[in-house]
Amino acid sequence: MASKPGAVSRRSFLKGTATGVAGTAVAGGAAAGIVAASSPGAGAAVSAGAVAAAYPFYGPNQAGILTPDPARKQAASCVAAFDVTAAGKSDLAVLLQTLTGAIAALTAGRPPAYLGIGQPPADSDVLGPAMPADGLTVTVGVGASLFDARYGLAARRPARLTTMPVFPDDAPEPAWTGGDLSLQVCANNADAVHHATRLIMKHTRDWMQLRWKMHGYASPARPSGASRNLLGFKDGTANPAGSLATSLVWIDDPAEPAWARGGSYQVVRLIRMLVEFWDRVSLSEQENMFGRRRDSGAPLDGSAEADVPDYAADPAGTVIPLDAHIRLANPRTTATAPQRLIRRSYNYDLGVDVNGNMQAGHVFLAYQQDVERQFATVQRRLAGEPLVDYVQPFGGGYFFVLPGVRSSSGWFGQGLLT
Amino acid sequence: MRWGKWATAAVAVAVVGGGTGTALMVLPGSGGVSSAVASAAATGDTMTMTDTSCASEWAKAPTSAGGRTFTITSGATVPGEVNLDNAAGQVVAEVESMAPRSSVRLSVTLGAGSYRWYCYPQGKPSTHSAPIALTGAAGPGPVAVSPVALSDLAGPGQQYETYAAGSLATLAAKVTQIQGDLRAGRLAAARTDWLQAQMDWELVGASYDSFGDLGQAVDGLPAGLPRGVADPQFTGLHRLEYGLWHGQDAATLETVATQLQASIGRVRANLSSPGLAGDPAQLPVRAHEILEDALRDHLSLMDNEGGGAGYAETYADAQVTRVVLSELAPLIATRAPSLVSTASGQLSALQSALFATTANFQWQPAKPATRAQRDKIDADIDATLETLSVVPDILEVHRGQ
Repeated sequence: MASKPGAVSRRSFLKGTATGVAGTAVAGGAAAGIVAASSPGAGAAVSAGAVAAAYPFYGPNQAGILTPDPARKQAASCVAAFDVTAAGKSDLAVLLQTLTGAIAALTAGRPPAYLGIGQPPADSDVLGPAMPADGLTVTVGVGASLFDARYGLAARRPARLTTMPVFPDDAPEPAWTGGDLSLQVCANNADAVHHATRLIMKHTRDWMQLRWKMHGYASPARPSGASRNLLGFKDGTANPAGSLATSLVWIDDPAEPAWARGGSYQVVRLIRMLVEFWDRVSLSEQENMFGRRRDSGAPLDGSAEADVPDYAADPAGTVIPLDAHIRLANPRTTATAPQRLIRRSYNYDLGVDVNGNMQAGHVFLAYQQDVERQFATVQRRLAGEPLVDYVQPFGGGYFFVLPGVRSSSGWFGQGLLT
Repeated sequence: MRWGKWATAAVAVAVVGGGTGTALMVLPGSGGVSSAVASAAATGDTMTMTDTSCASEWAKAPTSAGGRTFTITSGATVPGEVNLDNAAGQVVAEVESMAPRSSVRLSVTLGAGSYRWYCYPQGKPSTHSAPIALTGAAGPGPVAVSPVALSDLAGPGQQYETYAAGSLATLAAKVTQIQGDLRAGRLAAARTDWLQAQMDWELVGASYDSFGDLGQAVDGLPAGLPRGVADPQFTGLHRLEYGLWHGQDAATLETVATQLQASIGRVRANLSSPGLAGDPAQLPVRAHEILEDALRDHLSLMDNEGGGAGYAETYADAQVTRVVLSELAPLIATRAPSLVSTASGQLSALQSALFATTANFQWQPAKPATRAQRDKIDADIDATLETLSVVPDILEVHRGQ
């Protein structure tokens, strides 16, 4: 439906902010920075620390990776992959500008303007009329397929961006794999994730179409430490944090195109967990597969979750088997230190499998500055680990998270497209 | 049974363990289960393993039955295993691997009776504490398990190997028939014979990737291969299935069948290797996981390359599960007297439910089961698997033994 000439278009609110027309409120919201909520909502359980009401949007790096950091990640998430349908490079720019405006407004909790009675309402009111940010972050990535012939961007492709290869224990389903563009939408509550995804799609329908999406939830600490995955084990205990995390995540390699600085490689893996089968396996077998105690999260050679496994003292794998997940994933040697990456994963529950089992699993989300040096190297080392009988990676993809938007006059991919 | 706490009436398989058929298996780390009992009981007992002593604290520890939380600490210089045994010499709880200087919490409910700790420091003689009698009106304790030695499994392991060799000979003959079908261009006959060959392979009992790479060459799937169904590493029965149901010509498929026959030959030649059928400690796992594979790969359609043989494959898997159970039956009988008969009844129900989808004694790949038929199949395989999952636990060869 075309808008009346001169009237406020149903789209203009968001497009307007994208081109810098109405940046004041957004900038104000951003300047306020992280605002601690007066009281965490009942449904807003996060693993540690206070729930923040909002996170800053503008900056050299996008939010949703180290802001908030993985140990304090929001409770609800959605990873959505889109096929870009924009007709050409200029339409692609409009898409990215629109995304910029929408995400800036949504993450600042600034509701769209009243549009009058001549068109449907500007917002769904799923979050009520105040439309709070509710700790929202929306992280935008692009897939290798966006750098094909359609938009003339082949020469600007990030150096390590490929489509995700098939790893030996994968069971890939094309309908759940790949995409030109990814959105990682995280918030304190699931309704805010739904609301943001829905409003973003409403304003971008011409230019991108949903390919797949997976909603996830973070478990609160049970009873402490890293949150547990659906196999009952603490997950993320060894995640790098602080300046170490920063040094492993953001692109700073001179071999990368200049526009890509401040970006990061995103790996999404949708991993079905065969929880019924898992629940029929003895505890000692479960613990040997992971290399940690299930109750405390301690490595099998330690006493507490934070204890560092000492593989040098156990070269034969007597205590922590040589093929235990934590031992293969992070051997903790000097040579493997640069392979560490940042995980920011979620659990998912989807429905029912064709054999009557629960469809549930893990939305593995990892960030790194070199997907080949980090994720791919680790994943190849995990090939054939005993855990593969109980998990089936069936979807996801490699994406490149665009550098952050530094000010209200900027937009996602500005350096890529101009 | 491990689920007896919530569904006592449904418990069909009593495990021998001081008459504690409804108790919950409590092993280290089951903190969620144990927190309630721990709060009502004595806590804080520390038991120490050293190179030359085991839980010397036990002699002075409280003697109350009921919920107990122990901190097991290793003062040994080598890794080791710690077990708590009852008067009958059955293992009540274990810490399977402990590093020097580490501590592990162990929560367990202990019925009245006598218990002693055993420590197995690696490369050193095992040691044990004095037996201590616990008294008091405790509820049922955990299921205790009689230790199994690797030598106990040698006979059943040999029986299985002999059985598998015979099944592989049957399979090889069927593949020879398929080669003949393809040489003569009889694709319809090849499809019929393929189904029988696939079932013959299931009857070997190696369907859950338990014969390693050699088994994968016979029964591998395209998942995980860079080029999927077009990948040269996609070989064997499912490669043949793919071609037979995707219009590939007889000459192409004859090459596939010849390669398959060679792969079967390699499995037969290496059958006694520990990575195939030669490790008797794997037999209890086989009793459980053959059917897990049916649920995971066949009934989920994961391995359907066109033939739609999930129900037929599962039927054959149920059949070989019976064989493996019968080989293990004497060892199971003393530990869980009714398990084999319970599983046998459940396998019969499963096979009946699967057979109900046939017509004129033929499997019907193109005709979906009704919702009621499918629910029955799923219910029967799920129930059977819950029963079978006990087998590897009661027949596990522990490192300390």
